[in-house]
Amino acid sequence: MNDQAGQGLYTPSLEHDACGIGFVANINGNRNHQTLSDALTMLENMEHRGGKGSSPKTGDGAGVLLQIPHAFFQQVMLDSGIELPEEGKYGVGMIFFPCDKQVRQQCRETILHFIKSLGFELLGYRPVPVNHDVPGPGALEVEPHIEQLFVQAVNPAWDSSVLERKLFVLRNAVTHAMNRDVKGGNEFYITSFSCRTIVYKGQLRTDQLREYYDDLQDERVTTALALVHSRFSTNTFPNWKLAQPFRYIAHNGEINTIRGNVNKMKSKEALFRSSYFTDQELELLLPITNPQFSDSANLDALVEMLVLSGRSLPHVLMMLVPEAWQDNKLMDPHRKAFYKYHASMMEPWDGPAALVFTDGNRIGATLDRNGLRPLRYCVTRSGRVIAASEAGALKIDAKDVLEKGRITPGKMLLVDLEKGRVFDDEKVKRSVYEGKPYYQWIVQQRTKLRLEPVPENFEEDFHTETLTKRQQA
Amino acid sequence: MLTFLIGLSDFPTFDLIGSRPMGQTDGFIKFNREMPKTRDPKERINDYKEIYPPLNEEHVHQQSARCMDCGVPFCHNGCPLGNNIPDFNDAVYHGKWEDAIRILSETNNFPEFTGRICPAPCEASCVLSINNKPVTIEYIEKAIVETAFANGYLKPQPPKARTGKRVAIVGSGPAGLAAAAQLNKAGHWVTVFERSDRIGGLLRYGIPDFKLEKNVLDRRLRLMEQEGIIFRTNANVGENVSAKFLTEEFDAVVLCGGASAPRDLPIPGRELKGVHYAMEFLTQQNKRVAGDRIFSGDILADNKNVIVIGGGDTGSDCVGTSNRQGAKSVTQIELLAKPPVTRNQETNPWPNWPMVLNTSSSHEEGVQRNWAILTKEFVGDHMNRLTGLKVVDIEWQVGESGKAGFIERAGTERIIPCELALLAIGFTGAERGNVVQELGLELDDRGNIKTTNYLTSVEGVFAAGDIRRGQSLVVWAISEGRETARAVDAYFMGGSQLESKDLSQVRISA
Amino acid sequence: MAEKGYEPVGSMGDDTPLAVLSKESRHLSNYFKQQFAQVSNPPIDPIRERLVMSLFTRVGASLNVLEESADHTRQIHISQPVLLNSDLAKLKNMEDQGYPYAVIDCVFVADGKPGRLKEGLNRICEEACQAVKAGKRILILSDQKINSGHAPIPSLLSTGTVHHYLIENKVRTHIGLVAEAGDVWEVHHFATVIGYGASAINPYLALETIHTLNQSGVFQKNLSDREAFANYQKAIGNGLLKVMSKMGISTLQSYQSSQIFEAIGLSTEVIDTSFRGTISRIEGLGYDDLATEVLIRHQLAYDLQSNELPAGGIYQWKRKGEKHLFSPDVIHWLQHSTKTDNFELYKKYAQKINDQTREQLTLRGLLEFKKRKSVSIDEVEPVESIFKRFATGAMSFGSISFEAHTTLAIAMNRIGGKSNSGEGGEDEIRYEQKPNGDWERSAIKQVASGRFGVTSYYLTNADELQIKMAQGAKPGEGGQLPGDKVDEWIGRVRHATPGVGLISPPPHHDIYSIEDLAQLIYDLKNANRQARINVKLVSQAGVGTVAAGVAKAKADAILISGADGGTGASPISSIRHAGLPWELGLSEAHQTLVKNNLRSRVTLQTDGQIRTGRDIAIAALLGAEEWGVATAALVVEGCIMMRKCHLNTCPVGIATQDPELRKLFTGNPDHVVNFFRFLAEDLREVMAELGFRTVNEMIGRTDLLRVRQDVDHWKVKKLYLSPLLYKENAAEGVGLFKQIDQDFELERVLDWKLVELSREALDQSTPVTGKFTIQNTDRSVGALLSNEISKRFKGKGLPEDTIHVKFRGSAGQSFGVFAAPGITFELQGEANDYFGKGLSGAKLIVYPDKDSSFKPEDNIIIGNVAFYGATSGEAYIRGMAGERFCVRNSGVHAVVEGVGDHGCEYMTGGRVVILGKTGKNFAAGMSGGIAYVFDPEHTLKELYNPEMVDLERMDEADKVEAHAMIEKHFHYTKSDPADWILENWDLASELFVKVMPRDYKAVLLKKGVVVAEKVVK
Repeated sequence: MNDQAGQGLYTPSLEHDACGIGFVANINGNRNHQTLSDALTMLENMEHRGGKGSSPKTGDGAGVLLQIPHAFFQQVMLDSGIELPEEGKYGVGMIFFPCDKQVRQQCRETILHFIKSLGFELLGYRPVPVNHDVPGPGALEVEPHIEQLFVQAVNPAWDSSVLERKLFVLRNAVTHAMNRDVKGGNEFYITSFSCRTIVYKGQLRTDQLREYYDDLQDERVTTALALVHSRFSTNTFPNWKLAQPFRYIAHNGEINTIRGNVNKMKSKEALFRSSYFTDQELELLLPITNPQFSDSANLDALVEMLVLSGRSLPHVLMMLVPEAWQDNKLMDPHRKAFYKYHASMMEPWDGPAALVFTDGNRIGATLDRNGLRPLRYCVTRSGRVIAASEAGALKIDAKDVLEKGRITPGKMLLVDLEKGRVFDDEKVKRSVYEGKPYYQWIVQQRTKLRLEPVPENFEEDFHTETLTKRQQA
Repeated sequence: MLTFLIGLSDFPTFDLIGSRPMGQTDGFIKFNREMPKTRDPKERINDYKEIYPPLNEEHVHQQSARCMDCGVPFCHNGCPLGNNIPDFNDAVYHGKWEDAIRILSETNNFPEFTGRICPAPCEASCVLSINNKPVTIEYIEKAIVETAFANGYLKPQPPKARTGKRVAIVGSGPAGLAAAAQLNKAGHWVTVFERSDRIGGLLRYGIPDFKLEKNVLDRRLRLMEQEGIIFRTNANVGENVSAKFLTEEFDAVVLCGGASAPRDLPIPGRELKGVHYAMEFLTQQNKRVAGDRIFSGDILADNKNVIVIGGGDTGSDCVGTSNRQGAKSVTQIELLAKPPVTRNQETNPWPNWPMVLNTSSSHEEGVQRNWAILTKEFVGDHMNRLTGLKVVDIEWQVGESGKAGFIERAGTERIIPCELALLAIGFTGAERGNVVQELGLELDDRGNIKTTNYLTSVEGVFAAGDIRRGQSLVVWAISEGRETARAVDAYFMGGSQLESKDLSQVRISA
Repeated sequence: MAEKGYEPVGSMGDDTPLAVLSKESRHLSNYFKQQFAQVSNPPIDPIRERLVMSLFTRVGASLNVLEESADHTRQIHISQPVLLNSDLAKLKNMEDQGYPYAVIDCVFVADGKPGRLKEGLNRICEEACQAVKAGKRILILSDQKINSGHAPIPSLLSTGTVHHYLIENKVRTHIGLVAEAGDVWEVHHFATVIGYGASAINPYLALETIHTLNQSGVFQKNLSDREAFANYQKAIGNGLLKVMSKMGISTLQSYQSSQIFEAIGLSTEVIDTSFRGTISRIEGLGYDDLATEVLIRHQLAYDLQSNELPAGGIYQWKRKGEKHLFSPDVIHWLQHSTKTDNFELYKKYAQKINDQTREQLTLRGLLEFKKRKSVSIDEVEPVESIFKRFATGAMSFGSISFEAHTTLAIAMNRIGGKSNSGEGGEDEIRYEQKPNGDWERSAIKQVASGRFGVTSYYLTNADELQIKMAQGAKPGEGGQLPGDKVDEWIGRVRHATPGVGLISPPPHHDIYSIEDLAQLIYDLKNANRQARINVKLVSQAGVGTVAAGVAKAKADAILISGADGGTGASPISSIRHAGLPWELGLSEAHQTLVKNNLRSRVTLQTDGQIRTGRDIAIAALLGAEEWGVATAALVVEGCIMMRKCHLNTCPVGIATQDPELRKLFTGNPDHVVNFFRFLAEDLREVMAELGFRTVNEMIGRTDLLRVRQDVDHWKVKKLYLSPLLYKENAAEGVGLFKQIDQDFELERVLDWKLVELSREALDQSTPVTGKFTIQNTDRSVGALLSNEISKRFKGKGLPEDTIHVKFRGSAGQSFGVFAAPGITFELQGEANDYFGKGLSGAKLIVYPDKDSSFKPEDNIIIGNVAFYGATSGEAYIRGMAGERFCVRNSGVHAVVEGVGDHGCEYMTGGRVVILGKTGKNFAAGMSGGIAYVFDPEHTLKELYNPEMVDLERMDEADKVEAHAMIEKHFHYTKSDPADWILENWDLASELFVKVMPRDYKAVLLKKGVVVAEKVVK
């Protein structure tokens, strides 16, 4: 936010946050409201992991990501006379509009422009019903105007994965244009714009989230997975955008190398070419990362880019947050080759982190190589996986428990709702590192300086007589 | 030459060598302070040779191990030259004598002098002396320089380039010599004018040979000559060399004439034969040792009862010299009260100079010392020859004004028989000879030449040493000479790269 | 470094000026301060957790990230970034393998004309771009080509500038940067040049210097050049790991160009062009000024024909060279004035210090008070009310002698100020007041990452509990007390085995993020409700936001510690290059707290080289209502700044445990009291002058400070200090000093019910039992109850099992934290992180819910970091524990059925029996105690960290001990694995491996205990 630009010695880029995270998922993909409700309960039971400002009513931020509740949207939109296409054929954008009506109008015009030019059709807006008396005073001051935007593709052949990519282009194009062209447009923010998932979040306390959004209490809102996040920030400047989850991940941790990562992205983005996006689309998408955003937001943006350009979600997380492989003598050489190979193109986004991630069909969790953040999970006989920063945040009948575990350093857990299976670290990673001949590539292409011969004409050439002079200079 | 400096930090050497603790970290716990044994007093009073036997390297090594390499080396502060004492101690500890002499020479042009005759304020401020005996810094200093001379580490180092500037130095005492050495190092042409027949000033004629043998002085002067310094003896500026000549012929003049005007004792009988200034007495003897004949009338202590008036170092030198000349008895008297054996922690705490009873080597050779004695009158016979000194005991008191004063103790007046009385009660200030008048120099309140950053009231004329700051130690004179040289260099060049004791070397001239 | 392979160590902090305040020509790297982790992210232990770290680096082009092909990995891999000359030659020899290179001469015209450096930089940027266009893959930035007409561009500057120029032109990924640098030799130089974009560095001049030093026989060992170079590479590598780890970064690859520095005193132009994105809040030198810095050295080398390097003196006080605040006369005046109770002499001391301060040594020296209507000194609040705002520094018993420690404590107790226990426990004899009214108890008890001696009783005996997040002298790093310093006494106080070395880990293993700190604060508040909770932070950019977070985590007080202070021993690069003076950190913290409306909830305290009333007045005006004084107080006790604190040879009996040297201690509480009275009087005089009657009125009044205009130094003139004096406009009703108490919501804790249950036990030691349900929101269970026990029954507590409570459900974090003797907690269900943290004698039992059907030994039942810093007690865990089980345990006897990575890390005492799997890095840094691991598959030898322990077979005594513990485990938990092992003891006992610390074994051997033979691997 502009008015929070550094004055005095305070440096906004040095803010930190941390939090509680978790998810509830039905392995077989069954949708129900209970899943959402349980996830919210779990979130509320981690209130002590969230932060409060000088006013106890103002939280640092909380949110939930769920599958698009198609049946619910169909019904409520029909109530206002809009018929939605079948599931997966339309995208829902959850939008924080600036409060200023005029700016808002400009926003809508910009959106419309890109909807048309990118091959979409506007279905309609839905003001999201919220309770304004819930947020704390600080949060309320900058409470955005929240609406949902429904669009469908003009081309009926776009399946959900094409649609997802096009929506990504649309979202970035709109956001960049808003920042660039519209005064006050930087308050504009799209929490999610997808045909699969939707994010409800805000500068709220964990127990305010459910109360604030009517949708979250509506029994008709069902999902097979729900991912939650509560934020504890080192400050309490009013800001709704900083709440999590983002579009693909929720992050508990800190990326210590963020400045270097984002700097490097600048030149990496210049090289972007993809068979999944046209060059014009890429131009609209860029920049993906932005030094103004938080470390978590940048990580999410990059995850999204890499996933939508063809890599699987576990693959992307393995390349961005690799486990400790260098000195691990027990590691499968092919697995190691995967990490070596990816080290050639991407340095780790390094720092303590617990991550939960989902693309709407698969949901999982991973820890960084140090594993300093806790992440406990439980698999139930009734077919659910519950993961959270704390055990017991959601009460589970002891008889129902099949397995209790924790994510260990550098390891991953994945629930595939389409396949109806839970994958452990080895299974999920093997499917990734066996996907391409990384081992051969490494052996063929890599040169180790240590093993190179010293050139024959090399001679140590010390000029002792001028040493002092050069030391001085 | 590769430099080896510990303590460097913005330069590579330090970090590359690492933090090897200097010296031996627990040396001060393991070893006690031990000075080398001096020659037996009974033997040594028969000659004018130095009282110390040759060096014992193992002993020096052990003593250097006592240095604690303090984080805040108080000895630096104690030393008027700012000698890097822990650094050279460490070099000695590691047997790196060449490094040691280099470190020492950076801050001290003449360690062979200070290593012999300095009262060593550095040792007084040595951190070990808080609750132990200080490191034998002065002894180590002497060991370094003597080892260096013995092994040929000290070679003439004439400057690589000459600036063409010419400097005249008036007076060849320690201040003059130090200034000469430094200015020459900076590339200026230096000529030293000395009114006496030999170079060295106080070092030559003021300090007895048993404390500083003159070949020590001569070998240094040879080096300096080889480095390009010109010495002119019998050149009494203001008398046979005009000061105007100097200011016209030279780009700068540095006055280092000393504070040789002795303090007199204007009491009845002062004119009697046998009452002399200490310096007259000492100078004569030094000339004798040098093989000169004395034409102006011998002042000798042989078979006499000698009274030395004044309890300082000069007095002590008179005691030693008198004993060597075969005095019947030597008595030394002092106006002040007898100092305590240990320091008063309240009023005279470490690291200040300890005001305690000091017994010099000359005292060991035989003397009757008396304190709190006021001289009343020299008593003579009909031939106007001194026969005794009338004295009275006094008592020191702090008066109402807070100032200390004394009262005579009734009934203690007496005459001490003596045939030779030597006045060693200090000096009154700069010799206000013709130079001062000829150049019209301003003086300060105490009669010394007034300077601003060593520059006198006359353009291009500088002053250094006792002539500027009043009577002081040789080590201060060297310091004065060095600092003045820096001022002169800066005067010529706009800035100076010469070492300075409390300014860092790398500085911005802009 | 070349000799021994590690970085130099020193002690007592750094009182030299910031590079931009220095009158010397300083290395450009010195304008950059390393950032370090505190609170919001944990530092790493680069030695014991080396397995997660890597120095690997690479050179070559990076291709399109969105696609994958074999060509993507065509790069040169380099195992560590210090290139020997032969390595550079290799790199230059790989053109025909597809790695063409270009060398760019990084020099500029040395005629002193303005713009020359910028011209040089423009040229090299242009040449760099040309090289990329020409298809080069490696760019060598070389400063070899200097001569009398050309001066070197600092490698850091050329690297940063080219790096950013290539980024701007979007071609950075095409090429790798290698510096051939004469001006890179110490760790910090490497860190900065890599941090701004270089992949590898050839420090040719350093290598040459090593060669020459070696030839001249400087190194004590007989080394070949090759060995000396290898040692140097190792030392730099380890140093870099330390720099990275202090920010919590594991890989050099990520560290490269991550710019984790704050620049102090560089202009916006320089930052934006050459170091874009670097935090830089104090505006300063431009390119021409940087050129001047270089030219001074260049001039020295080429114009002056000087043959000697100037003496440095950055670290020690030298008569010439850099200025230090504590010079001999200042030390003398301070000691003498306080000994003789002479305020006039103190004023002389203060005058000299203030004058030195003004000589640009410090930021506060550049400030002056604005004139204001003065008041009579009689109207100013009395010294007695100022006294309570004073604290002395945190120095542990162990680092300083008992005499020195208690003298400070007595003095501070006399005046109502606070002394600090430091990290290392406190002898219980000090808790009782002496007949003459003197009290040796430290009002502040520190809780540091080692948790030595932190028991319920220790915490109960405090007015303030201070969580040390970082230490000024070495933020982001841990510490180590070697075994030979742990004598009987220190061992007892620290609850450690005498003779066994003690390691303080870099992070608090219960604080990996801000919400974890909130949890520890909550733990401590439960352990002593009366005590104020203070969080100690070290000044750096961003400390303000951290402080805001800490205030939200409900600390009562925050100490912003200046990085220039500190008394402990640390690597020299940490002393010099990490952290900022307190002025910056304090001001930032105050501004940020006001901005967030949190200022009135916390007391702000500051310390670091505070020595006079003027210093204190400035601290108050910048926002601190309390002040700590460490070094000066030690000097009053007799310290003469030997800076040899780490050698145990302190000649004045302060920083030593040597009984003979301790006898030389002459400190006296009277002198210390005199000193604080002088400080208070001095402050009152300033207050009167400025027209303040109370200290509270002064807090945060930066409007009464201004930057001096009379400083005549070219560097300082460029400084822009206004951000330091920015006055954050407080919203209406927002206080500028602590006025509102934090609400810990303690009324909700489960412990009140436990206290209620235990009434008879607390009154008459009568046994009681009870049952409760529990959930994850019930945190820190047992702390408050233990506090009540410790108040009544002191350290020994109650007899075993006096208070026996059964819980069912999921326990929240810190279950059984600091639980005192006499407590038995039996938990049916599961628990979260920090189970049994700081356990102080109680017994904890946990087993799964009776309705559950999974196999407990394969499932996790308690979370990470169990028994961290526990001192005594027993525990039986029917199931697996998470990471870092029994980290820094010094006395607990625990049985568990499996543990995660880093089990028994830093353990110094106690017994651990593990009946199932262990994770990686087991027993890293373990110096004491014994672990018995059931290892039927013989995997432990692959998993343990061999640095400090050996694997052995159990001897008969071990078997007896292990058997007894497993029997109890079965008794309490009905464990199946325990049952099987006991049933088959003869076989099973052979399958146990005894993990034995070498340190501990040596101690036992000394005592004549027979130790089993090492297992041959």
